[in-house]
Formats: sequence, C-alpha cells, structure tokens
Amino acid sequence: MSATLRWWRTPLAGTLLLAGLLLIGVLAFQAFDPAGSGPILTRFLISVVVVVGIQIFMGTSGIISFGHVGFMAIGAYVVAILITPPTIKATSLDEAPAFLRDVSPDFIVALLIAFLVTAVVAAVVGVALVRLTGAAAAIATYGLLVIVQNLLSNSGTITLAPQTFYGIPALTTMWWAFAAAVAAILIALLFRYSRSGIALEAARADELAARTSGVDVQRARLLAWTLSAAIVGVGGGLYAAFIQALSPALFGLSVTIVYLTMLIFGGSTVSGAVVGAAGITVITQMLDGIQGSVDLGGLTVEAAHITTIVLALIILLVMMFLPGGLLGRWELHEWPGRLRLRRRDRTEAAS
Amino acid sequence: MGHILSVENVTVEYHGVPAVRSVSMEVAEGEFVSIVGANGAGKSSLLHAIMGLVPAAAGSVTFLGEDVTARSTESRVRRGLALCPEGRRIFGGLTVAENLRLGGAHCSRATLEERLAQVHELFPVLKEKASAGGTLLSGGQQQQLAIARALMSGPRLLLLDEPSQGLDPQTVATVFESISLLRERGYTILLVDQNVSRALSYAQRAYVVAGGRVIKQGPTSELAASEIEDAYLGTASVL
Amino acid sequence: MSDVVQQLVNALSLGSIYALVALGLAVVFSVLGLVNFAHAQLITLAGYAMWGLSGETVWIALLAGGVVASALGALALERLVFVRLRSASLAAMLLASVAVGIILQTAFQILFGAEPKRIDYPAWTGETVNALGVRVQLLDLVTIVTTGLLLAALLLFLRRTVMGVALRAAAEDFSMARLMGVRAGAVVAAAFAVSGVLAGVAAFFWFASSGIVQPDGGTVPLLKGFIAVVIGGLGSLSGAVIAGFGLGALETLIQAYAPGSVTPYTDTLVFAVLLIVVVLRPMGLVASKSRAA
Repeated sequence: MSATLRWWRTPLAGTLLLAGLLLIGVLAFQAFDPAGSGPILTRFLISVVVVVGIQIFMGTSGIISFGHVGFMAIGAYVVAILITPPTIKATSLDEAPAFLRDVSPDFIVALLIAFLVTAVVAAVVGVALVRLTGAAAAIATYGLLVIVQNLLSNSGTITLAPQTFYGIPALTTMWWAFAAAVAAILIALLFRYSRSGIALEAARADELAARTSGVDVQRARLLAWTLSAAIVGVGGGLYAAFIQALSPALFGLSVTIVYLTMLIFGGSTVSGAVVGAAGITVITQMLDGIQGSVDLGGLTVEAAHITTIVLALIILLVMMFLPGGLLGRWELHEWPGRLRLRRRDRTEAAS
Repeated sequence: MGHILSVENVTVEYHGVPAVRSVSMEVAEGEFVSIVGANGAGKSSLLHAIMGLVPAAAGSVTFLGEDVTARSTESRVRRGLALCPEGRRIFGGLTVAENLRLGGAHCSRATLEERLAQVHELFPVLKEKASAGGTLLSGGQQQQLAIARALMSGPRLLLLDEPSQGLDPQTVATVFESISLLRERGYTILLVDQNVSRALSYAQRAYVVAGGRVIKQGPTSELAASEIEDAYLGTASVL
Repeated sequence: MSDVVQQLVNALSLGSIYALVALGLAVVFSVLGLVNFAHAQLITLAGYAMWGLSGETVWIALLAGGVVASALGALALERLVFVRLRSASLAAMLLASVAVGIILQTAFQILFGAEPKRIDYPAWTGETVNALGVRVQLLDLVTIVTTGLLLAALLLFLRRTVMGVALRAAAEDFSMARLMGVRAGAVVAAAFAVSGVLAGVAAFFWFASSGIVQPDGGTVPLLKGFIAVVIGGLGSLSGAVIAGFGLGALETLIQAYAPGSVTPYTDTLVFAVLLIVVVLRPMGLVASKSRAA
C-alpha cells in the first residue's frame, strides 16, 4: 500500500539517476574540451528537452507523431517575439500589434508563456488528432507539421517570414538548458508512472481491453499529447534564444527525423530519449568534423549531405536490426529490479 | 502404406511461449485423420506450422517425401497442401467465382475449368451465386465456399480447421455431409474439431492434443470419446 | 457560366493528380500496411528522368520515361529495403520509408544540385483550346482524359487478371491469399509497380504546370495524396480516388472564390477539413468495408 501512496519515489529516483549521468557527461566533456564544448553541450541539452518531450506522447502511447517539431516552432517564435528587445522590435516588427512590440518579459516568463501557448494549440488540434492511431496518426501529424510551417511562413507581420527573424538575445546558457532538461525528465517520468501514463501503457498493449475495463484512453492520450507538445514548445523557446535567428524552414521533416531518430535509437523510454540524444549528438559531431566538401570521383559532396545521409542510414539500420532501440522497453532505474527478478526466477526454476 | 505427411518433433512458439511442444504425427494417402483437443490445446497452431504460416521453432515437416520446413506457405500450397482455415476467411471484396479462381490461380486454364466443374457439382449453390460478393452468402454457404476454394488447388492433403464453428446444428450436418462426400471421393483429410464424438465418427485415426502435446493417438475404434474428454478436461493430471 | 466550366476543368485536373498520388499510396498500404513517405521521391525521380530526356519531341516518350523511372524506383525500394521489413511494426516501416526518402532527396541534391531543372515540355502543354465555347488549358484536358483512361485500365487489371484479383485478395487478408498459393513476393512487387506507374504519370502532369523539378519536388503532391488517403479511409482504393478529386475541387474552390488574403492559407484550410473529417468519421469518408468488418 505504501508503494502506491509514495508512487512518486520511483520517478524521482529515475530523475536523479539520469540527471546525475547527464551532469557527469557534461562535466567530463567540459574538462575534455573547455573551449569548444559550450555550444555543443547546450545544443545537446536542448535536444534532450525536445526528445524527452516527444517521448511523453510517443513513448507512452506508441503512436508516431511527425508534428511535434511544429510545436517546437511555435514555442521558438513565441519566445523570440517576447524576448527580443523592444528597440529592435520597433523596426523589425513595425506592423505587429503594439503590445507585442513593447513587451519585454524575463526569459523564464517567456518560456512559461511558450509552454502555455503550445499547450493550448496542442489541446485544440489534439481533440481531433488523438482519435487517430497508427498510419493515420502519422499522416495527420505530418500534415500538422506542414501546416504550422505554412502558417508561420504566411504570418510575416510577426515572424518576418520570408525573412529571418533576427535580434533574439542569447539567453540560453548551458546551465539553463541543463535545468530545463532535468525538469523535462522529471515531468516525463512522473507522467509515465501516473494514472494516465499507466492507462496509456495498458492501451498500448490492448486498447480494446483497456477501454472495456473503464480506462478513458482518449483523455489520457490528449493529456499526454498536450503535455508533450508544451515541453517541446519550451525546447523550441530555448532553441530560439540559443541560435538567435529563426526561419520556418528550420522546423521541417528533416529536423523532425533527427529527433525521432534520437528517441528510437535510444529505445522510446525517457532514459532512451536521453541516451539516444547523446548517441546521435556524438555521431553528428563526428560527422561535422568533415569540413567543407568531399570529392568522390568528380562528384562534390557537401559535409551537410553526408551527415543527412548517415543519419537516415542509422534510422534504416536501427529499424531493420534493432527495432527496440539501445535500451529496449525499460528505464535505466528499472534495470536493477529487473535483474533481481530474473535472478529470482532462475533460482526458483532451479529449485 | 506410405505417409504423405509426416510431422516430426515440431515445436511452435509465440514470443517464447510454446503452443506446440515437440509433436509428431503422420497422415497416409487416402486416410481421414482427426485432431481433437480443448480450446487452446495447440491444434490450430499445429495446422499453421504444417502450412508454414508460423515458423517451427524446432522439428520438421515432410510432405510427399520432401522436407518443406523451410518452404513458404504458397510453395507448400503449390505442392498439394491446402488449409480451409478456422473462421472461413472468405474474401468479402471478391465474388464467389473470384474466390474460387484464386484458389486455382497457379494451375493451367484447363485444369482450373475442370476443377471448377467438379466443385460446382459438389456444391451447386456456388454456381448459382457465382457473381455474388463472398460475404453475402449464408454461414453454411460460406463454409462450402471455403472448402471448395481449398479444393481448387487440387490438394493431395486437405486440412480442415473447425469447419463447424459458428454454424447452427442443421448447417453443421450439411457441412459434414459434404466432408464425408469428399472422403468417399478419395481425398486425404486432416480434420481439427472440438466436438470429439463427431471427429472420431468420421476419422479412421485420431490424435488427442492437450497442452501442446499429443497425449493419445490411435485408430478411432480404440479411442472412446468419453475417455478422451476426461483426458483433456483433466489436462493437469495427465501432464 | 464559362467561369464555372473553367473552374470545373481546373478542379478535375488538379483532382486527377491528387487521385493518382493517393491511389499509388493506397495500393501499397492496402497490401503491406506501409505508408510510403518515399513516394514523394518516386515522383521527383520521374521528374528528373523527364529532365534527362529533354529534347525529346514525342510527349508520350517523355511520359513513358518518367513512368519507367518511378516504377523501377519503386521496385528497387521494395527489393532493397522494404522486403527486409515485411514483418516489422508499422512504426518501423514508416520511419524506414522516411529515411529512404531523405537519402534519395539528398542524393538528388548531390547529383543534380539544389537549383531547379527545367523540363522541356512540348509546346501544346501551354496552349488553350475552345471547348464548349470556353477557353481551357489543353494540358488540363489531357490530364483529365489520361487519368480517366489509367483508372479504367487499373480497374480492368484488378477485375480481370489473376494478379489483379490476387492483389485485391492480399489487400483484404494477406496470409489467406498465401494459403491460396498466391506468391507473396509477386503480389508485393505488383503493388509497388502499380504505385510507381501512378507516381510517374502524376509526376508528368504535376511538373508540367511549373515546368521545373527540384530535389523536394514531390513533397507537395505527397502531402496532398496523404490527406486524400486519410480522408478516403486508409486502405480503400476507391476512397483514395474519390477523396483525391474532392481535395482538388476544394482547393480550386478556395483559390477561385475565397478572398485574396485567404489563398495563401489553402493548405491550412485543407488540413482543417481533414481534422473535421477525422472527428466526424474516424474511419474515413469511404471506410473500406472489408477492413471495418
């Protein structure tokens, strides 16, 4: 009984474990490369926020979403519009409503607003989208991604599209991103062990059985979708204040695929999201070591193309040979318990 | 008498859980053999393994002297194995005629027409309703279509999985009349049925399956239905 | 009156292309359960093949070149990639198809460059003709007639040939079709071939309006095909065609009669329609009966 009363202990322990591992990794990399590590680590930690956010929906429900980078875009533009200094906005956003030009909230307030705005947008479209599973969900969420890009591109008065949105202050430090990553992990693990998280786990195994035993699957799915989108929105906000310039083209299918690869490569759990983000970041960093372009028998291949193709090949190979990802279905902190259980099974079988 | 089908120590697993455990059995040319057992005993899994619909985790399936364990389902069908599956699985989007022609699609045109004539003679209703959609037939007619469709490939061995399922008693009687007609025509048949006394009354030999294993086998004259039912109702004590 | 006829021709022509793309996606989905994102790159591939054939004066040869390229491309994808994922989960197949699509698109960039290439379409594609007293684009009429003929031919194939019947059977119940002796490999190859042919014909007419092809040229028609496939009910071939034409009509209506400030948001409005359909009819407007049963 006490286990149910203090159900939050497990997610808390899991968060501490993952946060500890992240911290060790970050400090080790900083010690290894004190000069160049900052931007790489910040970018990586933002990826952790985004991928853990996506995991809240995809990992628990088992439904593919190609739409989450759309929420990242929304969060990015919300934060960009809010935190860009009014002096710059006076010229860049001269056709936008006056209050958008004049506001200048704290970064944390801007991030919270991004959280709320993406949550509201996600909840509205989610009412329809959570009715879909499988292939239909994948297609409809891809449609959502395209539509968000389309809307942003056609809202030049506030997004400056087709020009680049400029003048965003560089507020996202590495430790901001670290704090956000740990918060995202905590929220994701709390959700996984919550009533809704368990309901989705049940529905994933057998939706009909879950429904007939009184689980409101769509409600749980809508909650997961909204929470997940909001965290990805915050990730987008951090991203905006990191790269300092935005255009809708940054938030398309190819970026989506990088984040989905991270999640699937790791294994679709929260730990998997973190490990996958780390693994793919290491691989992309190594590929980025290739400078400029490579000459292949008269054919000039740019470094960026090589990165793209290698990432796509990784997805293909993982799908073919490692469909469960690196870590499989279990969270890192669940491993000791699982090993204990397995050992007990074995001793019982032996006796 | 040579065996046309022999199954040796076949094991079937679903996600590591065995459904069929090291089962061996044979069927000889012209024989009528039944497999009986309770729900979940592994009867259908065994038929699926014979047809190659599920891989055998261990053991081998030999048909007409050839080891077909590694062969695909469709190549086993082309070699003369046919399964009339549980639940009939008529193609609802295809007409009755298309359902039948598909069954003989890999045969020559002349053979196909010849078999179509045979099947129409066995089941005249299929000729009358040739252009109707498959699922517009009654349950009994669908079962006839399912059997006829399996016959279209000209099988040397016909596997029938629960042909009475979901049918009212009168229709079941009609279906089994057709099955005994097939037996008279010399078809070799392997029947799976939950109704022990019926399965035994048609067959020459039977295998009793429980918990994925063969727990009894022999000529039906030596197997009493009541004894078998006791055996698999009390599966635990037998194992 | 003449305006209405004109818009009707536009709607049918645009709808034809969407229907071809949607049908190509639906054929593969119905047999394999695969949502093929790489279908976009098959369309682009056909575009580059036609660019390679520039200078070809016989337009049928241009069309045939595109069709052959995308059909061979589809078969190659099946042999090299999807055959290894036959028993994989839906998610695995889907992501693999996205990955293949990205690899192909990047390959197009490397091979042909990012800037658009001009396809030499025959002069008649830019001409207008008098039909029923209305001036309409000759290209639109040819699009509609060709699509009509192709759909009729496909219908004959599905109804009258052994392979066509096997395809329909496999779409309904793949393992039962194998129990009938239908060769799984042959059916899957046929589905991909049909899908590739449809992509090639769609590409010919899609690229004709702009006359250019670029590495992501197939993305927009793919998105429209996707939307049509979901509206029509996944796996339903007739649903895909009907929804494709419906989508063409809807877009033409918006372009023709909505105020100018709305037209840039056409895609968004179309997506809103998709969401409404999903809420009202989760199985699609033309839910495939066999799957619903």
